[in-house]
Amino acid sequence: MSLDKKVYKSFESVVGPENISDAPAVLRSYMYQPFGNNKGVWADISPEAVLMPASTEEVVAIAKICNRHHIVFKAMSTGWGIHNLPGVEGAVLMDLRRMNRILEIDEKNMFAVVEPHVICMQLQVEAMKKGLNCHIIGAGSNTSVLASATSVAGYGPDGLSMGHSGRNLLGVEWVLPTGEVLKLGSLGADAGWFCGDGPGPSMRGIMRGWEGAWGGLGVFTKCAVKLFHWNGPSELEMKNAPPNYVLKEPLQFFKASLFSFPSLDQLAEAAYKLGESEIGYFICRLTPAFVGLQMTSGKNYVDMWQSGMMQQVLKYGFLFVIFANSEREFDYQQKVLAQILEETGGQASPISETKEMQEQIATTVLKVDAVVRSCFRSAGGFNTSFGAMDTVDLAINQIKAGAGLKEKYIKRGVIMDDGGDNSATLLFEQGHLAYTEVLVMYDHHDGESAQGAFEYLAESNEICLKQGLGPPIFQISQVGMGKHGVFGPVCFNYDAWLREIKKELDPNNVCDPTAYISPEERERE
Amino acid sequence: MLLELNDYVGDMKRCARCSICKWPPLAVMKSWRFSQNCPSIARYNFYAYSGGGRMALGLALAEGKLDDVTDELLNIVYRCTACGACDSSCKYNSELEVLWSIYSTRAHLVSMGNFLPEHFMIIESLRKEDNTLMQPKADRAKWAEGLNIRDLSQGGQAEVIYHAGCLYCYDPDLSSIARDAVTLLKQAGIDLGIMGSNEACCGSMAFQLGFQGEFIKFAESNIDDWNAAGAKRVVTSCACGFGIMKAVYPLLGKEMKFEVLHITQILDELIKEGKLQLSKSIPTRVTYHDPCNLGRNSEEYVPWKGVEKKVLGQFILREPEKVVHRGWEGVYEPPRDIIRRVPGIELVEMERIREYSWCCGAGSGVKLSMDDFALWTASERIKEAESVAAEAIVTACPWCERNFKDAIAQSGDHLMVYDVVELVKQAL
Amino acid sequence: MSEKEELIAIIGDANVSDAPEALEAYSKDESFVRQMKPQFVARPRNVDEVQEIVKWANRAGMPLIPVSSGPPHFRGDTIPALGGVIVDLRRMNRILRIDRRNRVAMVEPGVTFSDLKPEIEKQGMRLMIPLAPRVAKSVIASYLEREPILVPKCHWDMSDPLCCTEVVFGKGDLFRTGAAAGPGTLEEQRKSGQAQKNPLGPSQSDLFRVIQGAQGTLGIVTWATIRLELLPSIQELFMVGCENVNEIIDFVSWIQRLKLGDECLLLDRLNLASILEQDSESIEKLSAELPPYLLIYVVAGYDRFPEERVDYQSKDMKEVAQRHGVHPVTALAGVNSTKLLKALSEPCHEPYWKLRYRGNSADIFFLTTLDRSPEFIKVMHEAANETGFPATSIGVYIQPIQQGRSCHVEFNLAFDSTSKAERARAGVTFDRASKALMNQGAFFSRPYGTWPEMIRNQYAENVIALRKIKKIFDPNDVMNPGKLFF
Repeated sequence: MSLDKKVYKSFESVVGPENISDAPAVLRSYMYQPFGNNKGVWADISPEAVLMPASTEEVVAIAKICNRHHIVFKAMSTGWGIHNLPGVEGAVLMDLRRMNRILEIDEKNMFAVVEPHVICMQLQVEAMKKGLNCHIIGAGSNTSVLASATSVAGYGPDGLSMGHSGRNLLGVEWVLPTGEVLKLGSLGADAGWFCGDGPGPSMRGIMRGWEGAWGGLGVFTKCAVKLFHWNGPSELEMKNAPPNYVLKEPLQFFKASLFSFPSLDQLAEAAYKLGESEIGYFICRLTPAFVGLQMTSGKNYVDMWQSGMMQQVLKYGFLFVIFANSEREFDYQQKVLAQILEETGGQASPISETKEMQEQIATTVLKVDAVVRSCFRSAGGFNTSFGAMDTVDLAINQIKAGAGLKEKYIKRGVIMDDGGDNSATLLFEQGHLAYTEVLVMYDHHDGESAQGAFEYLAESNEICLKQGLGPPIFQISQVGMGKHGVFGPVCFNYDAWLREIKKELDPNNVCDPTAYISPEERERE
Repeated sequence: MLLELNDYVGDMKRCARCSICKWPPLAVMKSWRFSQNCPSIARYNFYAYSGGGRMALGLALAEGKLDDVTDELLNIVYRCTACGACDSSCKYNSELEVLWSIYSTRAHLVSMGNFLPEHFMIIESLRKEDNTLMQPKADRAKWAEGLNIRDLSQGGQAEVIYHAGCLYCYDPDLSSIARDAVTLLKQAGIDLGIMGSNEACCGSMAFQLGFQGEFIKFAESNIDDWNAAGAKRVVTSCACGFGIMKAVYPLLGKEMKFEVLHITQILDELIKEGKLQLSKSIPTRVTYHDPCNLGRNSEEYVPWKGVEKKVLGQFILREPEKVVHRGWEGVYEPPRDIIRRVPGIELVEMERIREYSWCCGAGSGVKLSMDDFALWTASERIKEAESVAAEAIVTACPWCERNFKDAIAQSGDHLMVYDVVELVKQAL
Repeated sequence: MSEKEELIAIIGDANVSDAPEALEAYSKDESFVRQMKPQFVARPRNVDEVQEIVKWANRAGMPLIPVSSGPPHFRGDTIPALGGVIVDLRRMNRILRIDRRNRVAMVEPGVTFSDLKPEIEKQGMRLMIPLAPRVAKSVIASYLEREPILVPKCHWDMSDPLCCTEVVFGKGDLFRTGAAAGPGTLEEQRKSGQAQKNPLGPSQSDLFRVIQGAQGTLGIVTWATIRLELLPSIQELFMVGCENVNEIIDFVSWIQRLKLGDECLLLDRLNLASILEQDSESIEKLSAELPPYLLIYVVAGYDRFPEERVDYQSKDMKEVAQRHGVHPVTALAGVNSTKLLKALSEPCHEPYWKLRYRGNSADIFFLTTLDRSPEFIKVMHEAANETGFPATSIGVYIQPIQQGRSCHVEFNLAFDSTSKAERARAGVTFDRASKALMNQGAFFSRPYGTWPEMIRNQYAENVIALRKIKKIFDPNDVMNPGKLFF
């Protein structure tokens, strides 16, 4: 089913002929989506056309045309993951690449205003010029600031000191599914970007939750996010020395180390204590497989794994970074850290203490540029599981449940043997919140492996349900495909409320019903 | 054949869709303004125009998922200078051969008779006149008249053969640079010869456009000629020529009895040995533009042939290991060392340099077939040079120079364009 | 059955009142909002009763006005605009859980700061409190109203320190927000290590944010979890006096930026004096001694090397102060630091500080950014000048929030409400100043009383959207109708 010529012309008159395409080659390129795909790399459904608006006004015009002609639309920023594509036939895709400006960095009040296609790294380098830094999600600094804050999740290991994307959000400009523009908070009366809540009830609570609407509730065209103090130089020089781009000069008052603990429980104790002592810039539980894959690849990695060295030294470990604003603060934080390590049996792992590793770790911590190595490089396919956020104890139980379950699938040979316990545990906001994602790598081109991986994911969802481990993040990639039907009934029928919101805000059902919720009544398993 | 699309299916289907191919390596990004690395997607915006997008299309072709080869597809495939920036960025976290997937896609299309008419004209020119510029072969050596350089077209030998390259031979604006080059080499006492009117194109454009048959013909012929001329070293001023000779010529399986050098490498050597002395001051603030084919694309390419084995469950282990070049070993320091030795000169770096340099816009036949795109790309680079308050942009490739000069003429900017060779000549 | 009988059937005879004194008490408050008597006062004890009341109200077409705090009330939000039933939640006053490990507590709406503080402190933690809340102020009410807390570095998001909630929506549906939603019962969640700490969700909405700031127009919260912090073992209080707020704003921004210090707030001389002294005369006397404005900040040490923490933070802050030409002191004439610190750490003893000077206070408050706060003081004074409202009766309170990204600015117009003239003048000043501030860009994020009407046009699209939300969560308009934009 292709787009009606008149409708195509209407879209073309909005964005210009250069910025719309229904050419098969263009559409086919968008259909390449390995992440979240349950088989191979190709999406089943193609958008009818791709549109590239350059402004809010163009987005509004597109939305209105879609409402008039009952065409589903979906917006994406960088487009990493199958969830970016419309999940229904006959839809148009808005690629927001041309909306890529950093509109403002308010140094005094520490926030930035961005358009959808600003990636974290772009914001960071500009913010650093003003002595500021931004939260970067764990997936990498190649991701969109706005997408993470408004529409997706928001977890990143700097969350210890720089929060969570969804909670760092201030004012938002939101093109509703109907094409009306809603500006949240102080922005509503153009009083500034500094607050996204009010007047009265906060519509931030409608636009997203623990997860965002994934493009299923309109288009976010601008947003403001908190920035944080940066105690480093305004520009970071990197060495041009293979194999990595690493900092030329070490940062002052910065120390990153991998700390190893005798047990998971002791690691948890240390995490609690570090959190509430309000020290630290970054914390992330890293596992032997994850760290190994950061360091090397191919045969070197296999040999390293088979030697068991990493598993021995880093079985229960986390990467913890102190980055202080003064020498006094640095000394204090190190003192507190030392005390906590003593109390919990933690020790700096020799892996992190070489000069080379210190350089590499510092760069990776600040730049978050190498996550692909530990996720996609080895087997090609990657996904994530568990992932509900609450406490450190929950995070530990997520590790135990996930690792235990993965062992079954590793034994079957359908997923990569990464030790089972290959997970990222993060703390946020000085330890007030924590969570774990249990990672899984598999060959997405091998039917048996892909099938096995998805069986693992489905079973992990079930464990979340049965063991009360919170709703799973895996739902991210399975959005709309029955997940509300499973979790809705056991979570106070939240899906019924989402449906009501959908009906009010999207009466013509023009936003991808597989992304947020479909207006049809709950699917039964 | 060197380029077989099916050889790259393994890589094309393992792109993670992370978009890192669109940016310089993230850790070296310095500003929003100059944060992109791919001229193609920067200009045309649709995902298909990125490295990842082209890999997706290559895969789609290989798997029969694209019914027709449309003009749109060809535009996507060819609106790309094959600069390799995507390849270099991707390889920071992977072993995927993005650039060679792009080449193979082109070769695949050409083998099915699909190419742009402008490209056909380039190939016809090669076939008829041994150059890409539709200029008479007989005039190839005119640039060297009066220089008293040994012409090996009639026979004879030389230790060092200078290969000017098509553009230096035929572009009257740029020929002086070739003249300067050989003059300097002679002055330094080098036993030098040129192939005269027998000099033929290096074949790089043919290769990049997917006409591998043509490329192989030219490459093999050149190797034979240079071997026969007893060359120990072949020196070229053209970065594109240098790049293809280093990266791809060795794959032909022919013995190359000579070392391939770029003019900047040999000049750097001569200056450091004291055989050329730079004493005249050139008080100018300059920036250096790394040509793609002198830099990241000049490492010897090692095609992988092996088996994929699964270990640790689903870990894909290649045997033998892939040898992957990330562009780190390109020629970056010699031109800079030369510039730094010119008295009075101040060298400042742009943001995108070395293996993550922004393409000038001319490569892979784009200058000849899509000049608007070439000029747009060049204008971005010129703005970058101006952003570091450079008075001049110095480079080491005629295509870069041609394109920069044209872009500056169009915009009325005041940036000067120099080749490294010109600076050396002026500073002697 | 009569309406009263129906209510009694739900919550018992002792818990339903239509006694004139009871109705009179709820018909008005200290604000200028029009008086209106409710028909009943209902006092449920648990969530089941709340649900039944709500369902009954839908059947009966009866407005419900939830109230958690005891008097005096100031915002007009607890006055029934259209009559109805006051749902007085003060019988729901259990402290359900205090979790030291996860720094969280679960409380019912009737729990006040006074009730909760000592219990929290027994476990070595402290509550984040607003500025000297009144004794009967409900913790949940304060957090639902997004009242600013005194420690900006603990205010990561506008919703903090509120975590999860249990809420009964407008038609009687029970819901839980955040991690509390499940899956699993609360006990099952705790078995898996959870503590109902994560406020986000469930799924793709954060309904707790929607209930916040709603003034009871969308639902009734029957318990909430709240974030707690560690109890300091040492605290040192610093002050900076200044003639003009401009002098210290940059310094405040910087210490927030560096996350130094705990409590951090600016008070003018009148407000500070009102907090420290009990009666009008003493307030005036102290006020005259104080500098016009005072920045107050506290440096604390906790369990680990507390002295070192205080030491390094004090020194770092001193360096920042020096760079900004600011001179913090630990002692200031007229100010008993210990008394002040105490006043900042607990609810206000009676009489409530805002009533001490003239007997009543009309409060104008809004959000802006720290760098703009001085200009709003100017606007306020200009408006007061126009109406003849004495500048010496205007208290100022500036509270950095969201870790310094914005601030709460509050003007407390002290007046004698027994004097018709003063009351009238206060009312006119309140209106005029509010409008002037709004026109200058003040963000009335918590619009009470006449403010919704005042800002409605500026926020036209927001009002339209909020009405849609109202339609979803309270389709029969029983929840505090006539409030906000509804």
